[in-house]
Amino acid sequence: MSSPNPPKTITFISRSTPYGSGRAKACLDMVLSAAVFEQRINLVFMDDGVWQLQAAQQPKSIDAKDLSAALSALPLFEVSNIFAESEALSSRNLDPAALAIDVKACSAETIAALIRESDVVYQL
Amino acid sequence: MKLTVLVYSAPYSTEAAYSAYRFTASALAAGHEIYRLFFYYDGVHNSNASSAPPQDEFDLVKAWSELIKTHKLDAISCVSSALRRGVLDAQEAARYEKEAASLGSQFVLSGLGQLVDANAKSDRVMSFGA
Amino acid sequence: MSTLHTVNKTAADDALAACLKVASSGDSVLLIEDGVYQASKLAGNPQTRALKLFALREDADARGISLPATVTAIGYAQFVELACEHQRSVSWF
Repeated sequence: MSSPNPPKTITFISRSTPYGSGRAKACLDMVLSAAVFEQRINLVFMDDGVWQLQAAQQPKSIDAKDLSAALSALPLFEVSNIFAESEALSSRNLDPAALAIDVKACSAETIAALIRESDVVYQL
Repeated sequence: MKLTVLVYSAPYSTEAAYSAYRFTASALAAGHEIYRLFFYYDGVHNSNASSAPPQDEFDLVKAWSELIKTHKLDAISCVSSALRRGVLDAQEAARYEKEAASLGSQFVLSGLGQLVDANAKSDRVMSFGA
Repeated sequence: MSTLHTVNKTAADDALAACLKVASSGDSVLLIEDGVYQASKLAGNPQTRALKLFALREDADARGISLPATVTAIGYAQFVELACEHQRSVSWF
């Protein structure tokens, strides 16, 4: 498939839990599509979205696909600018060093800067 | 300007799909071009022609269809969202051996690539969700 | 280059808080749908000093909500104008 030209900078703000609704999966699907079309991508986990990063998810118990496993495939799609809001991690007792995937812990100010550098922002 | 409108929400469940409709109609009235309407996630229910609200209520599915027809808009329902929610065109209904095809005639099923394309070719993308 | 933020939830949801955390000086915040219930709260929030504040008149009228002086009532035509004037938008819901 041909890539839309020129590529745009797209920031995805994923702010939903992984299994309680379909929003996290829908957001990831958008990220992967944009990656296939070689757009410049930032993926930011904010607020409850950081629960997607919890290690040892076993969603077979609710007949769901493992979203964290899908997240771990992001580097294969050359999505490497992956951020998580530090405050959201700490307020949920999530250790940035023990997450399901590698992310850059960042401040709200950094997220504000990513938005300012973006052509398009999706929040889900 | 060239605008793309992204709708994540179903009609009647929340106000968001109605807001998207009003925004789109206002943009057209102001002389802007709508490059694409993209219905994603629960938003695909806006393209379900089987919706039959009471006669004294605003018929959002019909309103979208008329707006799309009048202005010859490109209106896409995300195929993966739509299949999950039972909004099928005749081809998909036959493929999956389902009884009903309910996708409105003004809408087309296609993939998320069409949203990425809209991203690239629009000046602005406005999203409506709930 | 500034951003238009829309918020459509009441204070029971964290959408407005999330928006204000990452909004930049010069950005605009537009309350729509149930977001209009937060108009007074938004006007009194010191975090909004560098932001332009708007609420959608149709949604405020529908709910019987009167807007504080620092929150500008706009209609859909101006909503479209705001979307065009800002380089990008973020919809918080």
